[in-house]
Amino acid sequence: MSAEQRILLVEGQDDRDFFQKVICQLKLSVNIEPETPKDFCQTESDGIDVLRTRALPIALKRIQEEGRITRIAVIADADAQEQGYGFAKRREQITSVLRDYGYDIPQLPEKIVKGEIFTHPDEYTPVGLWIMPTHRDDGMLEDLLLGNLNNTTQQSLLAKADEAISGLGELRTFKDTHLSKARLSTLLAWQKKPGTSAGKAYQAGVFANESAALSAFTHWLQQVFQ
Amino acid sequence: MLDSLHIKNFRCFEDLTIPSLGRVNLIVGKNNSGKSTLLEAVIAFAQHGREAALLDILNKRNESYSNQLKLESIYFNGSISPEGIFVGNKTQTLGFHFSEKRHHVFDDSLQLPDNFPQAFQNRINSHNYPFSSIDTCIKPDKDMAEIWDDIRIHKQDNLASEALQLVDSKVENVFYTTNRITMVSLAKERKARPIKSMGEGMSRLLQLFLHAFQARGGYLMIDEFENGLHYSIQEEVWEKLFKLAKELDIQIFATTHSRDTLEAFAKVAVANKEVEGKLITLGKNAGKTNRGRIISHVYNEEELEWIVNTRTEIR
Repeated sequence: MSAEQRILLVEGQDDRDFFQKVICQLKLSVNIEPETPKDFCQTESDGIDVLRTRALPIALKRIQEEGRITRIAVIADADAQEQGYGFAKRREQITSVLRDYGYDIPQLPEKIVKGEIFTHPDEYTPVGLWIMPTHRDDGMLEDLLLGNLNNTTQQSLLAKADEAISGLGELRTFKDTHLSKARLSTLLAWQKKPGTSAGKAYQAGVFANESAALSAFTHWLQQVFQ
Repeated sequence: MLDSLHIKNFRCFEDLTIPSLGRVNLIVGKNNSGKSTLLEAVIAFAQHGREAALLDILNKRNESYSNQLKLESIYFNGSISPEGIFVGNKTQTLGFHFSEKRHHVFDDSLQLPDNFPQAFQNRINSHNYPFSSIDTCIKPDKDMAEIWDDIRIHKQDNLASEALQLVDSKVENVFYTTNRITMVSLAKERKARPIKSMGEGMSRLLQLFLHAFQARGGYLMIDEFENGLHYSIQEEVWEKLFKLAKELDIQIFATTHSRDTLEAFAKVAVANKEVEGKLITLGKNAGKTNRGRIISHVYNEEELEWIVNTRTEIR
């Protein structure tokens, strides 16, 4: 089975970098799409809307042709209800595309802990879905990572980062919905290798990879691709 | 021009619908997914599915090994189906139906009165739609010379020299000797040279544009577009073809395996606002129902741009 037939769809470049490291760590053979565009005509190719309206429908067409995609998963951020999204809304947005292509979409179970994998009555490749951070809560990838730091040193460092951020006052330019991004970036700025990426930090053991929340995610990922 | 394509029981196609077509269509798919057969279906359509045209397709593929078995191989699975063959558009207002018992041509442009006898309707449209097809090998000079005569008569000589200038800007003129050898004269050279001495790309380009002219008002089929064409000139070749498609009212169907060709096509299709380009994929159905049947998907220019831009594998 060649690698190009196993596809992980993500929202953008930062996510690509992070999941690439996770996939390496788990020794999975998977291609992450969409690739960052080379300079073609500067089409937008980043973000949830592009994932939903371009990458996913095109992947679902490719699935119908034999041997093109044999395993597939989608990872997106739930984002916040104040932005008009959140877990339930995001799940509905993505599953409605799957439903259009004939996938069975069950009612949302009361307690989901391990992501979801949707099947097709005509036996097309099942589609895995994980909505960050926990496939239950609102938020984003950064929340999953911040909620699962590996040791007290990292927790103290985050406390310092939080202090610094709250002391910004008028210097704070980012939106409230990006607070988690700012917290993680600050935390990563103060690592042994300053400004390390989330993916490298994952490999370096900054996060508690064996925690219930992170291992639920990696377990789901393995289930889709193994 | 075909706005869609429906092929039933024709060679490897059991029942294929391509819901929309552009003026210029690039067809991709793995080996044995029916790309060349799709071109043959359009060739058969252009000739109203006449028996002679169908046999000609088999002859070209060296498949007519026995007279008795001849026509069987034009049917899906190689066995004559009572349902017969259909090639045309999805609403079946244009196309042909061919079976052992009946041969019917549909052409809504005729606009015959309802009470017009059926038997006459079938005979009326006896002329083929214009078409021309370029296969993977380069045709002999003498075949090209015949098309060349036609071009000269229509005073379109510059078409060929402009095409060859894509490879070598020094090309001034193309002509045929009395014994039908293609000659090219270059600026600052005392003597013209045979085209065969100038590399495959030259002959391939000439073939492309001579056939485009031959297909005016009809259909042009190009099997394996990339053959003999270096990637660096493919974009310009597409540009010229898109322009000609409009000027000469041609609908183009081309196949490829090459990412360079796909990228060049996408770039030109997106940039050219007047001529619609579409990408068509062919592949075997992976689902439980009708597993293995050849199906297709169509991608418009926006999707095409995104696919190429993100290097999404679609071929």
